[in-house]
Amino acid sequence: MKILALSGIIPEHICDVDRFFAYAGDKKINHYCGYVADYICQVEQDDRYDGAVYPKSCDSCRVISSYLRSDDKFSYQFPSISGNDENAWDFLACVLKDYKSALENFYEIEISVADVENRIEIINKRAKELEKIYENLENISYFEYMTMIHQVLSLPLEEQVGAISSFEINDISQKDNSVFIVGSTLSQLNILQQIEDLGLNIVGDSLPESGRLISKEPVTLSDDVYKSIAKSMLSGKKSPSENDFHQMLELDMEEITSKKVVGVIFLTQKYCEPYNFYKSVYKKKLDELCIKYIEIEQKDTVEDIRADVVLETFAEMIVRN
Amino acid sequence: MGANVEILKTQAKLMKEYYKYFSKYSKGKEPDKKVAWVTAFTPVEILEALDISYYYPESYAAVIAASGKEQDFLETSQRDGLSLDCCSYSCCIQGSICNADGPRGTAPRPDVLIATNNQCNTLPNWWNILAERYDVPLIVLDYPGENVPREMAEKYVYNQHKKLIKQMEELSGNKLDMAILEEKISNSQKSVEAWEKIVELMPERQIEPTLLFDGISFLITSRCDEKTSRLYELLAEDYSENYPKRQEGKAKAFWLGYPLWYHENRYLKESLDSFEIVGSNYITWWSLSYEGDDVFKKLFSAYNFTFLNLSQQERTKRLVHLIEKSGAKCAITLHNKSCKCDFVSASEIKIPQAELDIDMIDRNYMDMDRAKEKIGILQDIVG
Repeated sequence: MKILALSGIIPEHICDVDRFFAYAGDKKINHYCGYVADYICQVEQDDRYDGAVYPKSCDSCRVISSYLRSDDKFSYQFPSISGNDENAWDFLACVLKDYKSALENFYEIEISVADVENRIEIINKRAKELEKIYENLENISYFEYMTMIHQVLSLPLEEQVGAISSFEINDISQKDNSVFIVGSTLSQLNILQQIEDLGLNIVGDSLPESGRLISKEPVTLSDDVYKSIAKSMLSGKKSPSENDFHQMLELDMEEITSKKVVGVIFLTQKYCEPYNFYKSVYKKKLDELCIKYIEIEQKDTVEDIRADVVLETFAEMIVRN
Repeated sequence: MGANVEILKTQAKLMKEYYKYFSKYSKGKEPDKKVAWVTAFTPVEILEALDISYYYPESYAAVIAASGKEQDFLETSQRDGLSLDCCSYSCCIQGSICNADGPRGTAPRPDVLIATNNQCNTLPNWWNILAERYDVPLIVLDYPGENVPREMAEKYVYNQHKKLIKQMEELSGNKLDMAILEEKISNSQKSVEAWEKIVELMPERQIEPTLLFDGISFLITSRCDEKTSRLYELLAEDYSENYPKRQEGKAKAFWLGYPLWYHENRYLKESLDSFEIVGSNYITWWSLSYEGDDVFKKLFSAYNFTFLNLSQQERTKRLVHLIEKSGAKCAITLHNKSCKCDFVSASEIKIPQAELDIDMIDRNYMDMDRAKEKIGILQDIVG
């Protein structure tokens, strides 16, 4: 069983899933974000994967199931949930049970409550470990931190906590010029190295694999384990596709001001509508706070985003001030 | 009163009621009710029953494009920070709001924003930026569609509708009368049934698609109003009595996708001389099915199973049925830059198609030479 998952919205509490980061896909769909198009390609073409799980969270994701219709591979789409109340938790709990049943039927396996509880413990521990590192971001290399995260998340869940502590992340000398990263899952890490090489210190983010991941409340074990997972999934920093820009802006601005951030780097995929809408209000908030802003847009997941000139200019503006 | 006079009077009355608080006509008068801005598939029967006014920014974007003002607004919107890659309905309205301008002025300021995801996910995103602008409550209603077992979806939607009623009671200060809600739903059902009679006439009578693309606006904005079903009944009679039957000769084509709101005919009439458009799926999108033995089941059935919220299999099934009923032998299929959800709806339709890249608002988007070339090829294929 090897399942490729799209986006941070997909739960890891039921079974192992590989997070999709990048694939050199040849399916280019007009006006669809390259992230989704490349994901569809990898599910279709990469024989290592026998399953796909993805959300219905944006218009590009919404029609993934129109492309992935082979009976040979497991395919499950999580509905979009905008609320965060009793009704939303109950509904998501039912969806999680439905997802578990679909996995059991397709793979002819049994997933027990004990299996799920065991995974919950690991996920909670992983979040704590990552949070400790995140709290110290201003003193360490963010590029190395994210490299660690991407490598750790590619491992089976049971190996992840141990792997975190085996990584060594170097301290940095540059402690001024604090910047914050916003965006969807990072597919190319080299951009982070470019940012650090320009003398900017990345002190926080709201990326799904980092800031958003550790912002989730730990799952509290209870009689209804699925509802507990649901509560945790719907907590913390959200994605723009979860439709609470107000909460997202509040949380980010709070972190940005408390960390004395002077610049924000918005990393997006071309044709990603949730971020296109979100950035229009995000930039206005930053303007009010006199915080500099730059957007770097990637056309697909494998494009080498060398934004040298743009970043250099941005860095010069920040350093000069 | 003659039927034609009654048609015109009813249309004028419905339009007047809808637009009376738009800035061009209000003479500075504020609405006497609370105002909601809603997306096209919002359960407005609840708002009607609670005496809350509601407006559809998407529909107004279509009106703006029809008036020829969309380019200015698209540019303004881009200057205001909204990418033109976003749905052009949203860009057009953003520009209209920023410029405080539009063919009918601007809609009254909202007291609440209600978005649904039964059509696309773009609309709830767009409503989020409106909520930031107006600093008013935002309610997003989730409709899971066919993604999860029906019972599960029904319970989730039922609870959201109950919560919406409570929130709207608090906003309006009115208490919901279930009998009125029943009546509003019944009006909507009647409007749908009457509209369906018109849709059924299209394959047999020489009715221009323009009439239906424009005529459906009442089903969108005034479906709960009892005048709407009366209007459609009169129109059906008129079309049936006064429009000649279709002749053999031209190739029968199906219009698969949105109307081109900026076009005076709403479709490429000038390039389709050798075709006649005998059907369209867009004109069936609001044929909501209010099935069930209580109001909540009816609302669930109507709003959870909208066309763009269906699985690919179900969409294909519906399209095949519509095309067969229309007698069309080919299709003009539109890939709308602003509606990714509809991009693949026709992917399994097995009739010859001219596939055109369009935008329903932005008249500068389509490559007309390329479109003509594709239509020419289709013409060669179907003879």
